[in-house]
Amino acid sequence: MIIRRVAVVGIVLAGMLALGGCDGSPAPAASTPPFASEEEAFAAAEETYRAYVDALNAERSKVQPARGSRDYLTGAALKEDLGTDDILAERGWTIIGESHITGFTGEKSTSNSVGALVCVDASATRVLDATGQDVTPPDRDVRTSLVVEFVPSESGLLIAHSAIAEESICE
Amino acid sequence: MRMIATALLAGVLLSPFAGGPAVAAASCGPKAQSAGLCSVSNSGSQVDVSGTQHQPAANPRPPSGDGPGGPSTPRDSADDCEGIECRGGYAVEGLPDVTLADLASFVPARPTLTGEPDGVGVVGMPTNLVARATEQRITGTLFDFDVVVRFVPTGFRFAYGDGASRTASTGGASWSALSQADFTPTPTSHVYERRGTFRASVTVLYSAAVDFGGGWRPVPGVVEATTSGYGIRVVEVHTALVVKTCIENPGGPGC
Repeated sequence: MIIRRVAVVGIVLAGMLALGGCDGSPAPAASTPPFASEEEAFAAAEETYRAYVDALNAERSKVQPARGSRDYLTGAALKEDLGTDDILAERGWTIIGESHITGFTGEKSTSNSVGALVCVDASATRVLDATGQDVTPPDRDVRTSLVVEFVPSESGLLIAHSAIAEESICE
Repeated sequence: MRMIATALLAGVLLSPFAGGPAVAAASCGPKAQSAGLCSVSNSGSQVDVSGTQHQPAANPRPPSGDGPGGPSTPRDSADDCEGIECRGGYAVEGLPDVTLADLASFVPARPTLTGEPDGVGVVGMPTNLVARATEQRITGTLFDFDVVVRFVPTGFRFAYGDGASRTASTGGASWSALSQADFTPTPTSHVYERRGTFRASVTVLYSAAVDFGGGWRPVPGVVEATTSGYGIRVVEVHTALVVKTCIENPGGPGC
């Protein structure tokens, strides 16, 4: 155990020495997944979002997905999700039914983010209170265009931000 | 313009949360969308309420009243009009394809922060901080409709200035109000471990709700308001058993 730790320290030191030998400029980040093309980045983003919504739908039907819906979120999107869960818990609300993606349009792709417009249809979902009564807000927007930002991570793209879009792509 | 606004208002009244095509940057995901929580966003320090309405150009229905949008022209019936053409040589200008978005922002008041002893603390003994924040209802307008946002304080996060912090469910109260002896621990007090001058602050965590006239809707997350700058000089107090006062014996311990 001690030998291994010494070995690890040695490797780290060697790495630091190797970096020290450079001209001082920071090493380029190696974690960014290089997408060969914009289409590839958009395809990866769409796959991520569909997997996220699938996980969300599975959780609503009390099936624990292999990867929880929250595992697809980070940053502001994660914060928003936690806030929404707090409200749902406070109100004793449960969402049932499935959300559907009815449109996905890649917007822009850079080395560290992918942006897309997504149309999400919530018409098949209902909100139930603690007694099982339907308390679905009658005036909720069931077809919402969201502008979604994805960022790369070790486990693929993650949803970092999600907000109502200025432009609608919903039919 | 007034004509357009009039045409849109009813939609806003009936459906203040309708996203329609377009709106400001309200945070929203599929979960919040399903729960109807999408048109209200929380920036962390304020609540933004946004609304939007869309008036398509097809089949314009000019309102019957005359407004500043242009002179109305006689016509038999709105249904007879096709585009800008009307029978009988009269013309009604079609409304352009318009999307209106509006945003109202609401910021809760900052809490007040006091302490006791006033501005002073003693090393190793509780210093009592008291923050005050009350429920607030702030009225604004969105598309000329009243929107009320309610902020209810749900938590108080004290930062004592020495690196320590504590989150309490109340803002605390004075020792006398709590019927406690001075320098006794309270839910918001702090024991400073060293001498110095510290600047304490408090952040109130408000839960917010918004009402368009049809009842309160919760806003996800909390809205924070911070007051800082309550200075506390923390001193050491040593006690010694003496036989005479400092006047009587200026060379005595502590004199």
